Amino acid sequence: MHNFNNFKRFLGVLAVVASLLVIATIVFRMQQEVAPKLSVRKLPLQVDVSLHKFHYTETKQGIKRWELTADRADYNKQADISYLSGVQMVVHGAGGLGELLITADRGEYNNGTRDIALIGNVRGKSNKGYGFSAPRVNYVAARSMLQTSERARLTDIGSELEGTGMEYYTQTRKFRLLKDVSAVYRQGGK
Amino acid sequence: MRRIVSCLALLLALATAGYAAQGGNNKEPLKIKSDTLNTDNEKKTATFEGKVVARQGDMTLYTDRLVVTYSGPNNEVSQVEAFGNVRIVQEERQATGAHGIYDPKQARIILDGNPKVVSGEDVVTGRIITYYVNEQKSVVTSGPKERVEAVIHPGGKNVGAKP
Repeated sequence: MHNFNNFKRFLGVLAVVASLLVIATIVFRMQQEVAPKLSVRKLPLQVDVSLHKFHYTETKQGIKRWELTADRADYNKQADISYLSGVQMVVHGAGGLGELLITADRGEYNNGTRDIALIGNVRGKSNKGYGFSAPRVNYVAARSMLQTSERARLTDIGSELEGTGMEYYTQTRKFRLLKDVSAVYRQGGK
Repeated sequence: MRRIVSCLALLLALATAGYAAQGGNNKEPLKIKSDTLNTDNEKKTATFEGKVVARQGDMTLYTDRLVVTYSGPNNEVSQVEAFGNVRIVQEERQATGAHGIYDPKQARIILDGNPKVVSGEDVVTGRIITYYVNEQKSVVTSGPKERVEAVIHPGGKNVGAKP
């Protein structure tokens, strides 16, 4: 009888040890499995959201003021700025002034103020025939104004205007060149 | 009397004939330099301010403020108006006044505000001096207080030379 009880105890211990071995094996195998690779590209530092084919439209009283398109927009929540690349901005003019298409290598869109810094090879071209170019231009939303402190060149049918520092009011298409102005008017518009 | 009229006619011709070159120049590009520029798309004007220098051909205009007005589908310059310390120089000839208007379509320059044309030692003044570019003639108008005055030097070194 005593031997029978010892045998039962032995079987119980064996069962416990076997169960522990099975659990240990399962845990060990789970740890050996390789974690799946991330399917999305890691975002650069200071970028909270990255958007491709970004498009933003600014309206006032139901009327489009301007549209901003970019190949890519990286949003930094802390600075509240979207860093844009491959930028196109279309400014809709009031009173039949036509559209002004502005392109730039890159840009910075401030979500709070809605100001836009257009940086690198900035060129504007209107469907009325005039245009401008500058290395960098800021769009000041509160004043509907394109502004630069650098050398700017404006062309129109029959005229070429250059100056350092420009203020270009997009709703009236009035502009100022602030210093060192030179202009050429060709008679006959050629 | 006949001699005075002849001398005056000669002087007027000499004093302003230099701007006859304008007839050949008015298809030349108009080049302007200034400190600042303001444009008005509605009025079709460009206002140059601060040490303005405008050149067309061999004629140079200096002034404080210059307003270029353009019109038409080709943005042709329809008028150039100068305000303040207007000085037009062509070779040795010089015209001055407080205000001047150049109308390319009518090929006409009007100077007022104590206008004066100086060519060498010869001087003509009046209330308004108008020069018709194509006709190569000028009209000096007197006013109630400003009579036409001419100082001519018949034996001067400029006699016979086209100013």
